[in-house]
Amino acid sequence: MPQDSGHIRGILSETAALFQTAVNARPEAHVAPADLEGLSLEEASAELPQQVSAAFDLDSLNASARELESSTETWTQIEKVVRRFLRGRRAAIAVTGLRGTGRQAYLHRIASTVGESEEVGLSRLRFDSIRTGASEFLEPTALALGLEGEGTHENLAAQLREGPRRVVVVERAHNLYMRKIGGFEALRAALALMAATLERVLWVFEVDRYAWEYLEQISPLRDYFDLVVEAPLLSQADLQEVFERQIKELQEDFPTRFLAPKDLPEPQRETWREVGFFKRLHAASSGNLEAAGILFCRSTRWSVQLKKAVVLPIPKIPFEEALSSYPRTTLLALAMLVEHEELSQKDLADLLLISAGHAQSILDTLARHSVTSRLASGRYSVNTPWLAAIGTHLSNWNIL
Amino acid sequence: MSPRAPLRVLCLALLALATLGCPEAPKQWVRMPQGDAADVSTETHVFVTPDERVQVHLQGATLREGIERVATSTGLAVKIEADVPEVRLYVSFDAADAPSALRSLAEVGGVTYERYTESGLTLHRVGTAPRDLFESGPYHFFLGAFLLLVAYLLLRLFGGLVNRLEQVSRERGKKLRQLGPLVRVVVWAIAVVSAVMVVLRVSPTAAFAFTGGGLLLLGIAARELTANLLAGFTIATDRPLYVGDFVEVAGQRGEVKGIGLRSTQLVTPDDTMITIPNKVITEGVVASANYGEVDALVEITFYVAHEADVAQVRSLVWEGLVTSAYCAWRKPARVFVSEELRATKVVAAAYVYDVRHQRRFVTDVTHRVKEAFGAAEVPYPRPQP
Repeated sequence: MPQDSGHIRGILSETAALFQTAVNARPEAHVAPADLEGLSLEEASAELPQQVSAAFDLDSLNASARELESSTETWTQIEKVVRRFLRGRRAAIAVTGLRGTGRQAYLHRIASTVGESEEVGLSRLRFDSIRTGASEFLEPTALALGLEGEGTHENLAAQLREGPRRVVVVERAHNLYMRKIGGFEALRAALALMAATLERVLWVFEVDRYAWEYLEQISPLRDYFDLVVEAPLLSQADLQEVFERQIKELQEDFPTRFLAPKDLPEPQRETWREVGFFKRLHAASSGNLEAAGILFCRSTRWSVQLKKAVVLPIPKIPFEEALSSYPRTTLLALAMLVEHEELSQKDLADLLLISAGHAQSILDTLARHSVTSRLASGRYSVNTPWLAAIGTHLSNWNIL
Repeated sequence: MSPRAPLRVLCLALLALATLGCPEAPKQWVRMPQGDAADVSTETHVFVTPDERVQVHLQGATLREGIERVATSTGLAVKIEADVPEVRLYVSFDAADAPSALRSLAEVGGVTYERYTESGLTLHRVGTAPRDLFESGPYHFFLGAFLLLVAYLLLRLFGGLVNRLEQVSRERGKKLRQLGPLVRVVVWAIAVVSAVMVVLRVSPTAAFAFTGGGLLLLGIAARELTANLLAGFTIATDRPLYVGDFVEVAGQRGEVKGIGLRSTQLVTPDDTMITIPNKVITEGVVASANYGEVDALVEITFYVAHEADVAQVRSLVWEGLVTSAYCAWRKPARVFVSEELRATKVVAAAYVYDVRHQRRFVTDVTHRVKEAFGAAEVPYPRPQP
C-alpha cells in the first residue's frame, strides 16, 4: 500500500517526465514504410564497399565492444569461472541479454578460454524452435553430445558423468519452454540434467533477457548458475568509443568530422566527440550494438566522386507510437516474439491459443509495418533496431 | 434558538464582512466617481488609516489647483508629489475632522458628501458614487468569466494528458489520475477566488471570505449537496479509494471511473455506470481490491476428488496461473490446497496485471486448467446421492 507522503512526492517528482511523455505520445501515428527498409545489418550495409561494411559487421562491432573498459570486469568474472571449472570445480554460467547486444561474443570468449585446455572438449546445442516436452530436449542433446542408448535423463546423466570433462553451450535456451500448461518440461529436463552432471560438465546457457526475467521470476532458475552475465545495452560514451574505433580504421574513407582534427591540442583531442550524431544514434538504438550498426550503415552513403562515405543524420522513426494502436492480441504476439526472438506461425498460434489464420494475420500486419521481418526459415522476428524500445514499452504495459 | 442559528449568524457576519471589504483591513474607503468634478478627473480615494487619520488620495492632471483650494479652505496640510506623471496629492487630517474636511472637499468638487453607518462601521461618501462598493463594469465580468474558462480548459487539458499518458503507461497514468480530485479542487478554488477578486474588485482575503461566506450560505440552503461536497473533499484528502481501483462500496462492485466533488462513478463488470454520492462512501465501508495499484490479487478456486494426485494438480494450476497472458508474473503466484469433506479444495492466488481484466484472468485460467485436468484425467468430486 502506498505511503501517502512518499507516494505524493514520487508522483510530483515524476510529473514533469510524465507530462513530457504524455505530450510526446501520439498513438495515432503510424510507421512510414519508406523509412523502414534495410532493417538487418546485411541489408543496411549491402551498398557500401566491402572494407566499410566489414568494419561494421556484427563480429567487428562485438570485437570492438570487447575492448571497452566497462566490460573488463565481466570478462574477468567469466574467465575466473571457466578457469575454476578447468581446475576441476563445479560451475555453470548463464549469458542473458537482448538480441544484438553481443551474447555471442561472450560465448566465443568462453570457447576460446576453454580452448586453452586440451583436456576439455566443447559442445554446442542450439534450439532454434520452441521445445516443450522433456524428450524434445534430451534426444537432440544425446545426438549432439554423441551419447548412446535411450534418450532418458538418467541414461544421459550417467554417460556424461562417466565421460570426459566438457563444456556444453546451450544456445537459444529461451526456446526450451513455452508459456502454456505443460510447456516447461524441456527446461525442467535441461536443468535436471545440468544439476546431475555439474561435476564433469560446464553448462553455459544463452538466454534472451526477457525470457530470463520471466523464468527467473517464476522458478528457482538462478539457483542453478554460479554466474549470470547480462550483455548490456551500451551507454552513449561506450557506443561512441566502439564506432570511433571502427571509423579510425577507415580513416581515409570517412568524413573527417568523425575524427579529431589534426591541429587539435592533445587534451581536447582526447575528449573530441561528434556528440550530436552519437547522441542521436544512441537514442535511436537504445544502446543495442547491432541496432546501432544497422542505423549507422543506413545513414551511410558511398560517394563515388569523393571516394568517401557520406554520413547523414540518423532518422527519427516514430514506429513505437504505433504500438499503442495495436489490439491486445497483437501486443501479446509481439511480447512472445521478443521473448523467444523468433517464432513460426504455428508457435504463435499455440502460444496465444488462436487459430493459425489469426496468427498469420497478426504476423503479416507486423511485417507490413516493418516491426518484424520474415526470415529465410519462414519464421518471424522483431527487427533489431526496435527490439529494446518495444521491450521497454511492453514491459511498461505489464504485457512482457 | 434553533441549533443552526449560530451557524447562520456566523454566515451572515462573514458575508457582511466580505461585502464591506476585509475585516482585518486597516483602511476603509469611498470612491469619488470620475469626472464628477472639474478638479477630480480620475478617482478620489479616502482612507481611514489605523492611526485614526483620514487620508485623501486625489489623482489627475488638473487636481493641483483644486486641491490647493481645498487646503486653503480647510486649513489642512498638503503634500504634493511631483515625481509622478500625474499629480498625486495627499491630504491628511485627524479622523475627528473628517466630516468637515470631506464636506469642504465635496463643495470644492461640486459634489455631495454623506456620512453614514453600516454594520457598525462609519463610512464617508464623497460625490455620487453608489454605496455598493462592488461597482464593476462589463470588462470585469468578462475577465472573471475568462478566468473560469481558463480553469475549465486547464482541467480539460489535464484530463487529456492523463488519458494520453495512460496509453503510454497505464501505471503512470493512473498515478497522475489519482491527483485529479485534488487538482480539480485547487484549480477551481483559485479560479473562483480570482474571479471574485476581479469582478468585485476586492482584496484576496476579502475574496476568500466572500467565497467562504457564499459557500456557507449554500451549505445551509442545500445541506445534502454540501455534505457530499465535503465528503468529496474528504475522499480527495483521506483517499479511501483511487480512480482505477476495483472496489465494493454501498453494495456495488466495480471500477472507480471518476471521483467528483459531489459523487463518485463506478463501472460494474456488466458495464453499468453507477453514481454514488460521496457522503455514502465516507460513511460506509469501502473494500478496494488494489488500492491505488494497477494489479490486484485474484483467487480462483478449483475442486478435485480426494484421490487426485495433489502434486500434479498443484503443478497444473500453478502453470495455468503463470502462463496466463493476464498474470502479473513479477508478483508471486501461489497454489493452496486444503481438504474438505467432499473434495480437495485448490485455491490459486495470483495478481492480474490490470484489475480491469480480473474476469478475463479468472476465465482464462479456469478454461486452460480445466482442459489440462481433462487431458491429465484428474478426477473431479463425484456428485453425492
